Amino acid sequence: MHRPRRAYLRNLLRRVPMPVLAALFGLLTAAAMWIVIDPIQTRAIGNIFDKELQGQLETRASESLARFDSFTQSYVNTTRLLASHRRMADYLEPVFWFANDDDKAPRLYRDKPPVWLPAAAIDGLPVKPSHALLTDVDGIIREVYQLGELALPRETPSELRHALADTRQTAYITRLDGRLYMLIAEKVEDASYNLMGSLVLLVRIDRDFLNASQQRASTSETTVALVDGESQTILAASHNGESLVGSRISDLETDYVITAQSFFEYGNSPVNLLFATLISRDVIEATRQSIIAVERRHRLTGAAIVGFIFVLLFILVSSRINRLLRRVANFSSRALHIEHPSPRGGNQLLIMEDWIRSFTQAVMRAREEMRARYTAEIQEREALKTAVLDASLDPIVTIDQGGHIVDFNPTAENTFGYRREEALNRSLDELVFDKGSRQAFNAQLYDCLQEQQADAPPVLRTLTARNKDGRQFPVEVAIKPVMLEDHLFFTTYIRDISERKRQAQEITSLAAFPGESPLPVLRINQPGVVIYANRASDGLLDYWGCKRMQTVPIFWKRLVEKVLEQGRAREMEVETRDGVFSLLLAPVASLGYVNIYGRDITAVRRAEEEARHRQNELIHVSRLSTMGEMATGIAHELNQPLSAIVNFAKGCSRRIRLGIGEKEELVTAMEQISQQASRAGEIIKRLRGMVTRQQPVREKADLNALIKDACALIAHDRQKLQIAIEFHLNKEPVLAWVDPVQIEQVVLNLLRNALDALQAKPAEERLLSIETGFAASGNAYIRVQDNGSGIAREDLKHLFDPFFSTKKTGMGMGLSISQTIIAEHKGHISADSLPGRGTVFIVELPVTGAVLESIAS
Amino acid sequence: MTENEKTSSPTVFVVDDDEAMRSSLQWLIESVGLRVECYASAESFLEAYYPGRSGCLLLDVRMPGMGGLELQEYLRRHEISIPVIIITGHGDVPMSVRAMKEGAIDFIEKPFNDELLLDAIRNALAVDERQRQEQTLRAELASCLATLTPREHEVMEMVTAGKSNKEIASALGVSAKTVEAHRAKVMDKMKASSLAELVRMSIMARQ
Repeated sequence: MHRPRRAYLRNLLRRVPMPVLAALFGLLTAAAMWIVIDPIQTRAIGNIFDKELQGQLETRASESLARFDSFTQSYVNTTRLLASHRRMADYLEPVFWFANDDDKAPRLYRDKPPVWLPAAAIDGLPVKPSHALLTDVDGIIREVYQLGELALPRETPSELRHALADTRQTAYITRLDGRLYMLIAEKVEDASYNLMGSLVLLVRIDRDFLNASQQRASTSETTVALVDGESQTILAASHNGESLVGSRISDLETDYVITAQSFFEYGNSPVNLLFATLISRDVIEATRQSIIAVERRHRLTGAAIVGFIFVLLFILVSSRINRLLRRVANFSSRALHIEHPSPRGGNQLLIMEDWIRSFTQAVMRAREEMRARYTAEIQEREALKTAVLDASLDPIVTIDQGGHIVDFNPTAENTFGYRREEALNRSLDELVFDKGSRQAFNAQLYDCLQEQQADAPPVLRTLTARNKDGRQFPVEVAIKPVMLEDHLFFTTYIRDISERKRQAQEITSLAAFPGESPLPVLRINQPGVVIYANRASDGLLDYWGCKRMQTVPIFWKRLVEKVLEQGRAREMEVETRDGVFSLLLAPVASLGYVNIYGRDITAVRRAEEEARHRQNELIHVSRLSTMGEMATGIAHELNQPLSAIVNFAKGCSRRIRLGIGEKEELVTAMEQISQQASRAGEIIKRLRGMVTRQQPVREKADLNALIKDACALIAHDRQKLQIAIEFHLNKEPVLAWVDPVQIEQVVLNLLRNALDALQAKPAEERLLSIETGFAASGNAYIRVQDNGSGIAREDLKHLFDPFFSTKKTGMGMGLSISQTIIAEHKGHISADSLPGRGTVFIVELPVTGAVLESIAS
Repeated sequence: MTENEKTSSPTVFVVDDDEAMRSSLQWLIESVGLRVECYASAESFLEAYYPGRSGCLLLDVRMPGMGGLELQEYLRRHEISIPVIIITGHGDVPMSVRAMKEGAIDFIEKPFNDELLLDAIRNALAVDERQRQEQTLRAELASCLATLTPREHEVMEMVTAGKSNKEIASALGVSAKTVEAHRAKVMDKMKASSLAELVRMSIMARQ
């Protein structure tokens, strides 16, 4: 029964257009709101008003009292002003009141104010005081100024005695002759500051006084009254409360709201007084009704606005949803090919709802299909995963929460020696880990649970594992927790790193290898920064003046660049504080490094130095021995001029003794003597040059001249052997940068060898030729050729070896030394010979320029 | 100086390749009034020299081209008996010895003691003089001998050998008287005044 009705309703609703429905809905909402809220709110407002009223009343009462207080205070102030007024002092100066003048009536002023009271002061007060009195120090009234018709109350003197006895109390409200008065007393002094008595003002508290006190009040509905605390009767009331005087407060409560307050200011007044504020209940009720009416109006407006906003909101939201749905529908019709009804008329929301239902069913169907496909895929993937797991190079073990093995891949079987069936359900830590590592493994398990970030890479730990045979090996363990349907699993990757460890150890030891080298090993990169330098390189670094990871000096930097550029190793020599090092700069082009391997050649260099020294010595000795061999020749050479000198000298002395001989002749002879003497000197000089040991020098020398000198030294032997020398010397001087003595020695040596070789030949066939010039290479050359005995081919190889000689008497040092000398000149000496036909020696020496260059370098 | 003078007065020939040496020697030797001729080589000396010129030869052993020893040998081969004084440098002893063996009459070491040199020269000149005289004598002797008959030759030989007339007569198979006559003839022909002189002549002739 329900169903058809609901369907009917639904159909009805489907036909209503959306805005209409929205408007209806909005109106309904507003009406419902009004109906529900109005009584509740009215009641609530009434309550709030009452509470508010109470508060307002209290405020108003306290305001009234405050106003009253300030009003009375103005009287007190006036009194104080009058009492200390100049006129008062001036007036009192000559006055003196006798104490026994009791019976004498006080002086009375009625129409005219007394001298001591400036009229302006009194006139300024809103309510004039009824009387102003002057009393003496004993409180006896001496002068009275009556401002109204009322006579001075009879109870005044006694009241004054009481009032003035207490000096503190100067102002209070009291009841005199049944009327309420405010009594204000102030001490007066004459001009010479003698205390004369008091000035007392009496102010009648009646309707006028109370009205004046409330003059600044905002509302007129308030009535203030003074109430007798004992009898609870009203003693005085303001304006419209005249009728209330004398009535009891309790009787008035039906008509008025009364707030009674006690005085603080005048508290110890002899009369117990209360200050009451009265407000008529009628007034309050009227106010209340008007407020409720206003509130109701407001509510009505509010409900209308709410209804309107609702309608608007509804329309807006529905159109929004409409548009969204339409878009979804469009999309789904395109994506899923589901027909959707076009929401032309009627209630789009409901139409949409129907459509969405069908859409959802379509989607569900699609999802079912996809799930089926997905499951198949998952199974496939699972199979693949298992295959991957099985094929993994690392042992992969899956354990459950309790640490028991649930999966054990084939690599794990191989690594640990347990078969899968053996391992399953065993505790992983006990099965594969060493005792010491179990705790660490469990800690890692715990740690990986703590780390909840799924993306964080698993922490690797190195532990010690043990296989079935008990062999221990280092492993790297990574654990990845896997949450599957409320069950926690851990996939544990255990990698055998014993091989890697061994390699690492080897690499470490290899890395330390250059460091242990007692010789410098360095690595410099392309920008010239020392990347690595072992300890032995400190001396070299000091020499460079740089430290590790700093740049080497510019020269070396360039050199490194050059070596890298050329890709060819280069050797350099440096002398550091540690000695002389030969540095091999080997480029590592692929990495952009230059490795430098140092070699300590201090000993080699020292030996070379020593050898050079020895050689110099040897050259010298050889020279001496050559000289020794030539002694005869030299002696003959020297004998020539000496003999000539002797002859000339003796000839002269004889002639002179005998007195014969022309003067001219004698002079010529003597000139001859000096000539021959210098000739002898020349020879000796040359000889000394040969004999004296000198440090090697380099100077510009003409090879032609050197040859001439050398020939002069062998002249004697040459003559003995009757050898003529053929000179084919270069026409221009052949200048070379040489040590002349050494080169002369070499030439001499060659000439002597030639002479020796020529001895075997018949005298007339002997031929010796010397040639100088410039070779094609630009070097200067000396060529010494003889047609003597020649040198056997096998001896030619050893010609320049030390202590090799074909002569019976020779030391075998001559050519060896010659070669050394020429090599030191950066020259070259070579020999060629045909046995029986002769020998040729060629010495090549760099010309001046080249030598200069090489020296400079 | 005339050609005659040149041939008659003795000359000191100086052969040395060193120019200073030559001129200084000339200067020294001329100081004692001797004639000096200088030659730079053996060859030039041989060109200028002819046998019969009196004098002596001052020869340097060490010379380019023909050395002193060769020159000496050449002179000997050509029977030129000019006295040779060898000039040697210090220490040329083996050479000097060879020169002396070749017939040099003296050798002087450089540098020279002038007195020694001059003495040697004087001595050499004297030897030359004597040689020349002997040569003249021998020439005369030869011409005398040439006049002797063969028999007289025999007799002279035997006489100078110290044999008595009787021994000679018995050896030759002639009478003592004949021997006596030959002897007288020989003495006469040889212009010998005594037997002693004859003996000297015969020795000279035999040299």
